Amino acid sequence: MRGNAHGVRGSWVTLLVTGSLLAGCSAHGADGGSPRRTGASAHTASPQATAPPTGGSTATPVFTPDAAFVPRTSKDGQRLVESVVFTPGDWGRGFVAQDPAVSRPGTWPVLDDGCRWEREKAPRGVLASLSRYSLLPADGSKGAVKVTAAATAHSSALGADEQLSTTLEEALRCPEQHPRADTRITGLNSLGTPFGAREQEYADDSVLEAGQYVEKDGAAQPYRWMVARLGTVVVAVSVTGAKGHTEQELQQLGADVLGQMLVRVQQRLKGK
Amino acid sequence: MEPLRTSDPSRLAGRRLLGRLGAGGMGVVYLARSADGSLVALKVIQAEYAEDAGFRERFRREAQTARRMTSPWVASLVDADPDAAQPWLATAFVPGPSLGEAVAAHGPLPVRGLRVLGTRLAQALGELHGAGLVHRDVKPGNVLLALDGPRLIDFGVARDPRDTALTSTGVVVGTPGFLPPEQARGTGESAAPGDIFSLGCVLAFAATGRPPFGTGSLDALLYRTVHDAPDLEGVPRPLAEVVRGCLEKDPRLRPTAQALSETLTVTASETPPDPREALQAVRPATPRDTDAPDAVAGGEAGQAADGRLAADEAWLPEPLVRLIAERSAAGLALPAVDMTEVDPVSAGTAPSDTAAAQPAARAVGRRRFLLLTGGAAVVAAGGGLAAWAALDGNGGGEDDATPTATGPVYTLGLHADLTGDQKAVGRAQDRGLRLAVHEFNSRAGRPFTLAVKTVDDGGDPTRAPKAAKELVADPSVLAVIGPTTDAAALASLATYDAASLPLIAVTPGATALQVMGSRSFLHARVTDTLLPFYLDVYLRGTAKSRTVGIVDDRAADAYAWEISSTLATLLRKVPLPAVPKVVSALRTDFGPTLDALLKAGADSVVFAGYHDRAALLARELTSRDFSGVRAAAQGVLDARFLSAAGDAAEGWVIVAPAMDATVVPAAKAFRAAHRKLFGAEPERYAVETYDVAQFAVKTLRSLSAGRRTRQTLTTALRSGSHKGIARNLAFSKETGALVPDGSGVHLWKVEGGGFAYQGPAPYQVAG
Repeated sequence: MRGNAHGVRGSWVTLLVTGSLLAGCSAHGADGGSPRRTGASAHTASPQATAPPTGGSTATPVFTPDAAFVPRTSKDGQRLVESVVFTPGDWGRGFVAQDPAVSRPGTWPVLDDGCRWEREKAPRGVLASLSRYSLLPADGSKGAVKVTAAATAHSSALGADEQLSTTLEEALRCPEQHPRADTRITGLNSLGTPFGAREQEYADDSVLEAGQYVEKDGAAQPYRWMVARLGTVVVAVSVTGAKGHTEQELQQLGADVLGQMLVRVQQRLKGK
Repeated sequence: MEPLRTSDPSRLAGRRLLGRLGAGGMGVVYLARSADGSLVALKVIQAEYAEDAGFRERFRREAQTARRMTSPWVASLVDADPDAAQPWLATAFVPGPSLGEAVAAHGPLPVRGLRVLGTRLAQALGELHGAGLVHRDVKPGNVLLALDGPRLIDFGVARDPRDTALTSTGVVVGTPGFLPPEQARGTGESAAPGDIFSLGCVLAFAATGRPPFGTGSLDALLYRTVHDAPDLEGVPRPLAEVVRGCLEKDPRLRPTAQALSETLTVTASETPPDPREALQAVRPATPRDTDAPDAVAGGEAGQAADGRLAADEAWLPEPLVRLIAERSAAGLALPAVDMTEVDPVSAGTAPSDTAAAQPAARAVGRRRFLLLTGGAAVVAAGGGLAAWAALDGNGGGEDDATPTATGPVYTLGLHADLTGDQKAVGRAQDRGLRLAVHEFNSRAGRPFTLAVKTVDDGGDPTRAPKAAKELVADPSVLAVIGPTTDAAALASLATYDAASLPLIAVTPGATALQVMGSRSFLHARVTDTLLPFYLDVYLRGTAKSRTVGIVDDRAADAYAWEISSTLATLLRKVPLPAVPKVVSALRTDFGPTLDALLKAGADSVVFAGYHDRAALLARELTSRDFSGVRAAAQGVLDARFLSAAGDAAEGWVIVAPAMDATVVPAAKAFRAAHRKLFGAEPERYAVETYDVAQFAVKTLRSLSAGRRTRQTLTTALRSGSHKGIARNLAFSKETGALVPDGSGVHLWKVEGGGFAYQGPAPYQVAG
């Protein structure tokens, strides 16, 4: 089972991306072939995607935070999210800030009844939420890659877990979403994977969303939204593809950054 | 051996007591030294039995019979007094460890040793049976090893028949794992064939170090004894066939002790001669004092053995010979330690090697026996055994391998959850498979005989690969049905794939099973993603819902998500308004979820999750007087939903790949056969498993003798088809996925506190 992990993970990404998991009929023709991924960066637990259940519930948590470092106030929460969320420089060489570069403090994103994304005042129970928007500019034959890194500190684990439930609900409710007036995310499929299931061993819970990103009249590009929870903190990364960048490359980029942000959360909450 | 207690007498029955070997329901067993210096096991019967005139009479009769026995392979009856205030009997001691101890310490016996063991024990049983006695507890702990051969101890005199039978109160006493199925079931009187079965188990154990029905919980052991083909992997080939014959489920098919001993004595020259013959050769056979026949069976046999050391040592490997010698020395030292007063008689007659007791092993064996006794009673009180006893009814015996049949024996494996959360389903599957195999084996002129081998993973994905490996390792297993649960299936798929062993899943529904690239997998039911098609049809066609509330329970992970996400997609395409809600696994209160659903105008609720949390939602719905349709998929089709939800379960509709074989006319013959074989109604998923088993049997039969291999069978299964009772089977050659034809999905509704079958679920809205 373990020896097969890479292929297995690949299969699940295939399943999710092709929508086979959701389209009952086509499930029977789902391709068993797997885009094999090279290993993740060695120093982090990289949430590459998901693999089939091996355990379901598991007694061992990812890590146990030191209660003294778990944010209890908005101020603590703000300090945490600011130190965790990747800046353009963190993403790597060549990444620059988008405009705007940062979300408005005290707000968080909400998908309204019309499937449009808006930022609203964060509800009680959300201590702090921060998104930073970065960009790898177009270069020669390669198009621009837009990325988002975000973190939300909740006052309870249940609150944090329900953020992931809400994320899943959003894809059920709105497989087509509008982040801005002139952009669309289409064909969204999502899969939540709690710790211990499908060899997910990096977070208490996780959600992977896959779809296409369509800007104005541009061509559809692959889109990923990856979310993970550690205790009361939720981190997320979005990656929007572009010409000249393979889907696997973007998937890997998102997974690596999410993994590194999780490491930052662990370090902050353990006081190391 | 334990020291004597202050309440114990120092002398009894004219013998000096040296210590306690054990105590049980019948009384206490002492180690005692006879006047002639020999050691005996002195069993003193408790007063409460002694007061029973019937018991005394039986005791007297059996003791008289036992006295006439002269087999050197039985620790003979030395003396007995059924009329004493406390009736007692004394049996001879022999040197050597018990077989159980010897195998534990030094591994399985070599082939020659096995033959000697088997032949001699069969001879011992032959004599017992010939005299009308039944041992009733043949097990490694009751076989002691001496230099010249084995000794069967603790034979059935003065043993309450209840000792080893499953009684009406459901208490097993004896040694599960070595008990014959008729005793494990509690349906049969313990009789001579039962001893033969136990001997078969003992020989398999001696050959492999493993009991042929495994180890583990009492329930599992008894179940396997009754239902499974024995695990004879590693038993040397010619012997394996003989042992298999002993292990026939049907007592009538087992050989007699005499036939068995004759079969095993094909290499008679290799077995050490009967000490009686050797004795006659060494010295004149003078009639002995009948008061001390132990000397004949014990001491002189030992001397005779000494006279032929080379031949006798050869029956056991060197380390065991040494162990016996050590034990003899320990036994010799024993009386001196306890000797507080010099007994001139015993001190003067130094015992021969036979007199050196082997009390330690015996004491251990007895303690183990007592421990099992206690444990068994507790388990039985828990109610498990009655169920097992009822499981088999009057049949089941002939399902398993019949080596006497013409043609080869192939095995169909069942990888099931027999002890975990889904054990009810696992048992139903086991019966479905066994019925199909039983029917096949009942046919005259069948080209081969089928056996069933069941492995239990408890539904635990961490145990599933090991269970799979067990079936994979048995070359006679050509196809496996199972596993019962999704998690176990996902965890063991790779193991079956690596061995090219066809795996046919009847109950798991995960779509992921079909995309893991397994080449030997067949998915004999629709995936969970297809169930929402039927839910959609029900919601629109029957329920006329206008806004569907969908509750995805994250506690049910991928199962819930396959249903909720597919249903949301389907309803969007109709279009029919839907309100999806995803509930955190950390949440136990469905109130806020329902608030949101009702606020959004949902007039029906579909729950994507399992039965336990469905009950929470059901109660919440009822408390709000929700009058709309409540629906779910097979994860809620579980009796525990009914008990947990109570009245709140009423009216729930469930779509599941399970037929009710107790009401469907097409299943009438199946139901009758099931009832006949098991004495019980078929439970859910029995008929689906039966269909699949029939398909596997049919396909195996279609292959010519040389092509009955795992790989060929996989290909044949994937390209084959079968019209079953519950569903039609046909598969994708590439993925093994079921070709869906609309059959095999059924509607159930909770009515009057039970699941009422509504018939096949429609997959198109009528009209």
